[in-house]
Amino acid sequence: MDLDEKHLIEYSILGTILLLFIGFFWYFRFDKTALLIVSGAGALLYSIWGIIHHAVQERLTRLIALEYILFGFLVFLLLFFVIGL
Amino acid sequence: MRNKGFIKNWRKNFKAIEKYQFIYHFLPHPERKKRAPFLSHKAFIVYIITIIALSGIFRILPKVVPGILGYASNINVSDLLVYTNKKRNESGLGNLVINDQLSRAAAAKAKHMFEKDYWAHISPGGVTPWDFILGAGYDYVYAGENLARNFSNSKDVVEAWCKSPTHKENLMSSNYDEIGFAVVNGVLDGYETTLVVQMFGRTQGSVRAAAVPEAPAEDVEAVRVAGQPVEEKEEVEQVLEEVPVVSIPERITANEPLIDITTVSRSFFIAFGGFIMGLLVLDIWYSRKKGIKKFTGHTLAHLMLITVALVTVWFILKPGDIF
Repeated sequence: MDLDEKHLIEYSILGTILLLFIGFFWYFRFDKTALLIVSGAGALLYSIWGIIHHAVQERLTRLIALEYILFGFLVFLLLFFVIGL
Repeated sequence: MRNKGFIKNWRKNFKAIEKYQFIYHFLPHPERKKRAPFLSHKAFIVYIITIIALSGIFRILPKVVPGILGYASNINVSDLLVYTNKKRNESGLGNLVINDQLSRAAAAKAKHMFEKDYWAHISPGGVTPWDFILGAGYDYVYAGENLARNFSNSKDVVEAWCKSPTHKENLMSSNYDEIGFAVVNGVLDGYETTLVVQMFGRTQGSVRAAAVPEAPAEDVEAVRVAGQPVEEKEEVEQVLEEVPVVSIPERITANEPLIDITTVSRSFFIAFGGFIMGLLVLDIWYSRKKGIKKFTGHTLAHLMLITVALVTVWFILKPGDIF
């Protein structure tokens, strides 16, 4: 399996996670508590995906892991801001 | 030749260079092999702190200055009745008929929630929906209550109730033949909002008059027990006295708070999310153009996440809360 094929598989997993996120977000669109849980789970899964993806590619550093955690948390906070109010 | 000299001199002119330095806050650095400073770890931390601070302000402000922030709405009883009956008809159930006593009970419940500043079926003092219904003179056998707040239109209110199994159970119950609504504007928990109270019922008389008696259902909100004492009777009577006997359906004017939270929070989300999205697109384009190989996380993955977040908020998220 070459690098491009590996990337494709890993990005397909990310795409599935994001599609599931959209699906759950639509399903629970009138339930604020559920939406916050879905947002938190989405952000967490994204951070985990990023870390595992870089670990598999043997390119994982503390800064890269921190970047995925910070970005995931930032997006969650943005969603929290708009859902929670 | 003149042009070449100009470029040579321009490069030496630090002031001229400084004038355009701001652009490097938006672009990846070719030598350091890093993202733009606005996409750095430090920038992310600043954004996170800013959002937390803004969330705090939006939560503290209503406590300090109540009624400034709120939820704009345009809800009316006629539409609520139409959408409710439409949903029932889709399930093969008959129309519910407006009952003024139930509507009065609903109006009293809404008034009580604003006055006592609570959001629940049972008040902190123990007043139940059935107290309002009985207080309004509605002698029920079956009764139920649905609540909604912060919605922008009538259709979303009914759709939200239909998405919740317990609320849907009330809406679709064959035990009810009458309904009452109240759509009231006021300040709840510091926020200017519109409360929607929907009360269902069936009287003793209509059960006796029914050609085919219904078996008592287990899934109704309340089945009255004969001789049940009415708690907080005086409190309920006082609220009911202040609620006029209204002719329903009554059209309710739109609620327009000074600052509409839905518009403000969405605008901020779209503007800030768009800013981050723009930076990420710029990062991908400029890195490819200049052949910059950065040792960072994947910009494309970040771009995918922020795009999905923007799409969901823009197209799916609806304001409102049910109970």
